[in-house]
Amino acid sequence: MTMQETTTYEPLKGQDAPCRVRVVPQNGGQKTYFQATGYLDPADLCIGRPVEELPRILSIRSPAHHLAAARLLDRLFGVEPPDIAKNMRDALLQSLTLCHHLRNLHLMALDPDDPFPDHRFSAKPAGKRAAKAQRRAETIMRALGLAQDAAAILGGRSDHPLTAIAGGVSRFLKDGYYERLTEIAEACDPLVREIDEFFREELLAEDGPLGHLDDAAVGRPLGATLMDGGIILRDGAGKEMDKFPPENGPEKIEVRTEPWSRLPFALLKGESFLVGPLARRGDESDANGKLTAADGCRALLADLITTAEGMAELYQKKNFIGPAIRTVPETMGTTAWAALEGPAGLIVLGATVDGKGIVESIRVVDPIQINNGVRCRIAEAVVAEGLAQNRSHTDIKRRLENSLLPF
Amino acid sequence: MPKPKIAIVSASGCRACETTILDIHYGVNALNRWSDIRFWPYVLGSSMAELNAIDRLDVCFFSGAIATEADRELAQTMREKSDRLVAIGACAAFGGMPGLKNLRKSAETGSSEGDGLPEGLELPAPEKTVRALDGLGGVDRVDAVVPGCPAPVNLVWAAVSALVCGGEADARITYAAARLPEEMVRPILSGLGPPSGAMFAGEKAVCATCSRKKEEKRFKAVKRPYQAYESAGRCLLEQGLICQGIATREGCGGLCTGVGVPCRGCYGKPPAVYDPGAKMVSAISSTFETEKPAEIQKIADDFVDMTGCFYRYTLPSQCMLMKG
Repeated sequence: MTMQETTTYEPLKGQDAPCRVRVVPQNGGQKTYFQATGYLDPADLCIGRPVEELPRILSIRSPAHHLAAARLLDRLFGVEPPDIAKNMRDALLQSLTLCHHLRNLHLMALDPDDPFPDHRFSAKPAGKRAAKAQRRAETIMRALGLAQDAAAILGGRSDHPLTAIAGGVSRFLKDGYYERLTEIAEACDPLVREIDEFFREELLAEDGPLGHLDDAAVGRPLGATLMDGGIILRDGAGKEMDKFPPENGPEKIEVRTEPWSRLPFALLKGESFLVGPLARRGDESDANGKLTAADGCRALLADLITTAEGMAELYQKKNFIGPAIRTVPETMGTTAWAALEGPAGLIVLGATVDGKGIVESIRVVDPIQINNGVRCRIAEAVVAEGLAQNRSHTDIKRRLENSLLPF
Repeated sequence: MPKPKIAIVSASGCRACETTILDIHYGVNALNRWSDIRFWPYVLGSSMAELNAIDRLDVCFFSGAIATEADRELAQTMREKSDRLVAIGACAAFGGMPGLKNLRKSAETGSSEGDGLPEGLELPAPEKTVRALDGLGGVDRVDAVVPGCPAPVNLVWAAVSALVCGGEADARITYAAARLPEEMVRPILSGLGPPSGAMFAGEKAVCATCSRKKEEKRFKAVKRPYQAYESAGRCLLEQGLICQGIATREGCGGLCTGVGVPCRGCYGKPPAVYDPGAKMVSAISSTFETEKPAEIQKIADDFVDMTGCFYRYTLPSQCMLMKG
């Protein structure tokens, strides 16, 4: 089937930036556009502000941007945070990773016919499907609640965290929090394993509600990840192609704008690339060189378990006690670059400041821009597959929504 | 009795306020027991066609700033359809941090005028941005406000409970936790519902709930947060840090100051303050330790970005001239 007139899929569930997929008839076929319709340029918020405010301002882009901006401050001021501060930042990052992945998985797991299952008080007993949906939703919510609790303890609050500052963190943990963090890590582990199990065995199964995530495939893109302070670029087969420090980002990462989308596209070696859980697990690339949304979902699940294991190791009192929580800067540079492997993928920040530490320019390259290209291709593949199979508008929209969430 | 029909929508923003409704953990499923969630694009993918098919909504929870024409139209539609329109978070309430964009000239941002594609190019065009970013109140009347960046779970749930659940048991617990002013709690508990224009936050300044020790305010020098200061214990303003607790509505319990970070005013101004920036300037300048003009000038010179600091979250609602 080909489109005779322009079709729009809007809004799309779970998309942080306002966006839509528009399919336009063209030359007897059709062309699919994944369009971001709203976009707030970080430069509009950051230029003219004191540089030390960047962790708080950029946190509205994602909680991980708070930590990336704190790293930028460390480099600008030439300070190294004490071990306890590094541990607290890493621990916060782990809790934010859980929050990010669980939020996306929750949205994917929602049953469109019964999105908020709550059958304990209903007059009729719940059917098997409804009971399972409720159990799944509650398990994800329970894990999310724990992760948010950890993020609030470590970051001051789970969204828009506060505590990462130049040279460390802003305060020691309160007495009762050490034990609480250990309890959280212990409670998270079985929950994320249960989530992994029901996703793989029920939701992602061929006849499961997310079985369709395997239907539309695109060529495996390049993947970039931060490792040992350097950005590593891998090809679709997982082979290392390049490695460079974050400060080489401006010359390596090109940012291109298109007239049909508000959101720019980040390119490496002239190609769009992928960041996030799938790129982090680059050594597990599919042998056939194809990428599906199901691969993205399985990478989220694997990352969830790895993160929970990391929490069990790090969330111990001994890692959060020490003589100092920050190194107070004595000098300030004028330019700095920093990178962070955030929950959704690589974040690269660069800033220049004047003599009073006021931001003169800022560059933010993050998963929102980087994965934009891959999301365009996924959207194109899902629409093409849907039209080839004569699927309904509603069916294609639901498939699009679920397929874009892992990226 | 039919369940109230509700909508949950976001204009331009980071979604943190909207997801706060999901963050009531088990509550979002329980919310369905009390209400009929008819329109929630972020979670249900609800389309505008579905919204158009709805005659009337009881409550709409609206978050995010008005940054595009589509945002403005959405706000107007939700106002027309909803008996009660609730602004959730600083962006909807005051314009929020995205409002800082108004400090930059349109030529610099390159996105205020002339949006879209060259004529004749057959590609879909993005939405036009508005001339100056605004809060929901800049578009139409708002019935209730939950401030904060992001709006905290307890206050959002207090608003949801009061406006949707009609004083059910869960709601009563939340009111106590939410530290709402008594004048607002009484009508809610009596079943009348919150008064129009209700602010789901406290009435005093953040300093009233901040646990830091206040001694004597003698302002000697401006200190920046990257410099050394006592992160636990003493009032941050007394140490020379620009902390806006004195000009900010309470309700957060001194969340930022509690973790050693200065307040930046995300709850907006308390009722007794007319202009938060003027209040801050007055509060600081009246406590300068020195009376020598040269030393006062030296302190004043060390202040940086006062507009971006004092109106971090409220620029569009406080500074009307910025709207051009």
